[in-house]
Amino acid sequence: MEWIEIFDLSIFRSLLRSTAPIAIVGMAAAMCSAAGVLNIGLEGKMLNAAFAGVYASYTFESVWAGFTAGIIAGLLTAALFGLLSFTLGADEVLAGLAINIFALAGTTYLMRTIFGQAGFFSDPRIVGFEPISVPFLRGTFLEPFLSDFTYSVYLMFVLAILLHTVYYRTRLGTAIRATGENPEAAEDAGINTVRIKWMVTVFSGLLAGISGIFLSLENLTMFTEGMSAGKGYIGLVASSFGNNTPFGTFGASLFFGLGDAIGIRLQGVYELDSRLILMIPYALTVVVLILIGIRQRLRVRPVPINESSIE
Amino acid sequence: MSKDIAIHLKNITKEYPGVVANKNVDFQVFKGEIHALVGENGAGKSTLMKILYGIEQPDEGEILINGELEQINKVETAINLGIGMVHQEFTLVPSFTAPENIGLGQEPRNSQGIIDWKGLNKLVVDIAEKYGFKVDPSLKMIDASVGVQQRTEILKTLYRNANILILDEPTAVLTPQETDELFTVIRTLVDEGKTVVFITHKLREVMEIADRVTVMRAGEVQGVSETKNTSIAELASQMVGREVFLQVKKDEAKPEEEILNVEDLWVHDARGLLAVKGVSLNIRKGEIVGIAGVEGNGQSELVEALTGLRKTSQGSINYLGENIASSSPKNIRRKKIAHIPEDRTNTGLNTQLSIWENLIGNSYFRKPLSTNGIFNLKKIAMHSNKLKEDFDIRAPNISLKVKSLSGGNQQKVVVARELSEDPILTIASQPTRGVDIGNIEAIHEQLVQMRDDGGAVLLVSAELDEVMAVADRVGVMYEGQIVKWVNPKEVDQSQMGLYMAGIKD
Repeated sequence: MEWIEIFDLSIFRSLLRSTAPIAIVGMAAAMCSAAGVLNIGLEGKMLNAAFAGVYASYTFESVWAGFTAGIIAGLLTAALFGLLSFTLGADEVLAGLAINIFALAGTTYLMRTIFGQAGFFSDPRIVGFEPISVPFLRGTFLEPFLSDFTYSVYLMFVLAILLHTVYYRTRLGTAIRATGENPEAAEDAGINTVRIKWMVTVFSGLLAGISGIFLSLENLTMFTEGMSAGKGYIGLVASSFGNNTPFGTFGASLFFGLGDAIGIRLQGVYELDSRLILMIPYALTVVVLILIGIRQRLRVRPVPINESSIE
Repeated sequence: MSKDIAIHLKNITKEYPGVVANKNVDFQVFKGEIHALVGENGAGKSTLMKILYGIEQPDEGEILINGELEQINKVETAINLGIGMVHQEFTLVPSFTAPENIGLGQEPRNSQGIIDWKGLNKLVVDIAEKYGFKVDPSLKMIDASVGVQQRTEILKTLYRNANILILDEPTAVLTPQETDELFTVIRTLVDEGKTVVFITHKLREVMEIADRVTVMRAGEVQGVSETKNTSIAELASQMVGREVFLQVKKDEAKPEEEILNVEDLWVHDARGLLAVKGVSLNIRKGEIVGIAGVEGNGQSELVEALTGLRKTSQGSINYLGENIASSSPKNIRRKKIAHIPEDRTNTGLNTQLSIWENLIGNSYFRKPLSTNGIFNLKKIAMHSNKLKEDFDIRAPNISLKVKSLSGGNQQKVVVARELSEDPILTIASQPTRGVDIGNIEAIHEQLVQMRDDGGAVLLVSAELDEVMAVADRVGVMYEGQIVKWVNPKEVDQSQMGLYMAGIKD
């Protein structure tokens, strides 16, 4: 059966691999959205980090140098976003868009001037992440499912649990949610909402940075112009579909990951046009946005008069 | 006086560009008393309290709390000094429960920083019981009644160990019965040693609840008295600087033929919930029909449906024999229905624009104000200046931006515009909200004048006094239904209070 051929162990592993970058940046988006920051600039943060990671890894021939540089790039880009939005009072959407355009043009320019390459840059000196074998899974039936992934997959699980705890069970989490829902109530409770917004923005820079590094130094070790390819935006959609909660965003990201994984798999089985496969995540984004729209409509659905209770 | 002084604001002056909000204000509150702070809108009460609560800084003056000189430059400082404030607009997070809102920012937590939600719930319930009110720890604020929300706000201050509670117009959103409950709570608070500052402009409440009262007018203190040694009349004259009573001179209505006939109208609100549940009413030429009720019982949606701002779900709105339900606002305006909306600054006016631009908002497209889409500025100036004169809009000229006018004058711009098109039916929603007493009288007179000139008027107001004084017939709205029609001359306030709480006879 063809379907059985499609759904096998490798698709499960491919699902987790595809989900990780979206989930990580999605959870960054979720924290921002929960605090009322519409962080469109995640895309640019990822791209800057991906480039900085490749550059440092190539220069120092060390993956951890790349990792550090990528995080710094993510944080700096986040700081720029915060500066524009919170300190200078620019519109968050415009600031985010500016950052994305700037990142796309900036990394393209730097790649051409530093490496003299157009389109993509790949070199044996770029060191990438190696898969890690999880000791306590060794020999168990879970080993083929969950061991020997690179860091991003494990980070995604850890983040989901960690952020869920922070979100619902710490003062910081309630402060973030209060800031997003009613900033005046938060201020009244002595919460510095601007500081909260800065915190989630910087944190999103960290996560988007990490997510970006994994793009360029994990399964591939190369930088491609615009290689974030809308993952920052997809992360935003995932967070919105997941009601800006960590678990919800994780679930929504799995949906995108599944689409991706099935696409890759179909390509092997049916020899579909690869360009069609590449389109899947974006088509899914549209589908999810429609679903979000429908869900909102259902929420405000007028109660049919006959069913309503009138004492 | 040998009593301890909890709050002493000394010689406070605060100036905003163009206005002196507080001028050498001296305000003292004794420990353990209920102190009313009264005054008209814009008298400077709110500014004074914002200074006390650390939201605003005074230009001059000192603040003494329990005899100590304090510098309160942020809200946190005020909270740490044991001052709690319940704002008129509640500051609650809608998706949070009462304990989540009450504990916000100060939740009990273990050494790992994990919040102890159960402990918080218990703490909140205990505090509530101590002061004699109940709280449902699992109810989200979005589903809670206004009264419950207000109690949550009070609990919030108590949770933060407030000893001095400032309540900013707490009764504005309550039914008379809920007000009584609030007063019981306030008395318990004082019995437990708290000090309460009660801001209001309802003098009857001052006499009922307060020990002492400070009256402010135009940024200055007009007098401080013990309530047992003063009277409503005396306080009122201090408030406005002259003797004023809310009375409207009008003759008996002479209603003629029917103008509007609403039958079994059902309307959903913005959240998709039913807000108007089968309202029927009719208005005849030459009468003012009033709709009383606590805000949020469907009045806003009813008015929006009548004026075309909201689609109706069922039922008909027959206006001069034609069903105008779910018709467009412009279409409805063309049929000479005027609308004085409840939200003056967002719906009624564009405050960024000038007086004249606002005045021609409903007539700019017709001759002689414009021809072929071009304004005739001279005609517009004549038209606007005439309205300014007729409706006594106090402004140096008609090019002034509306936002620089006082609330009362802004409202006069709305009224002037709406009444300028000779409406057959005038729908006025909260027409005197935030308007000072002098202008309230003027607006009431204009509504009565409309009636006497053969117009039909629908007056929707949360101010019971206003509906009772101006309207010829009054329907009481409760949870989307008109529960009772009354003749305002034949019922008293407490009777109305019961109807407003949904209790029919």
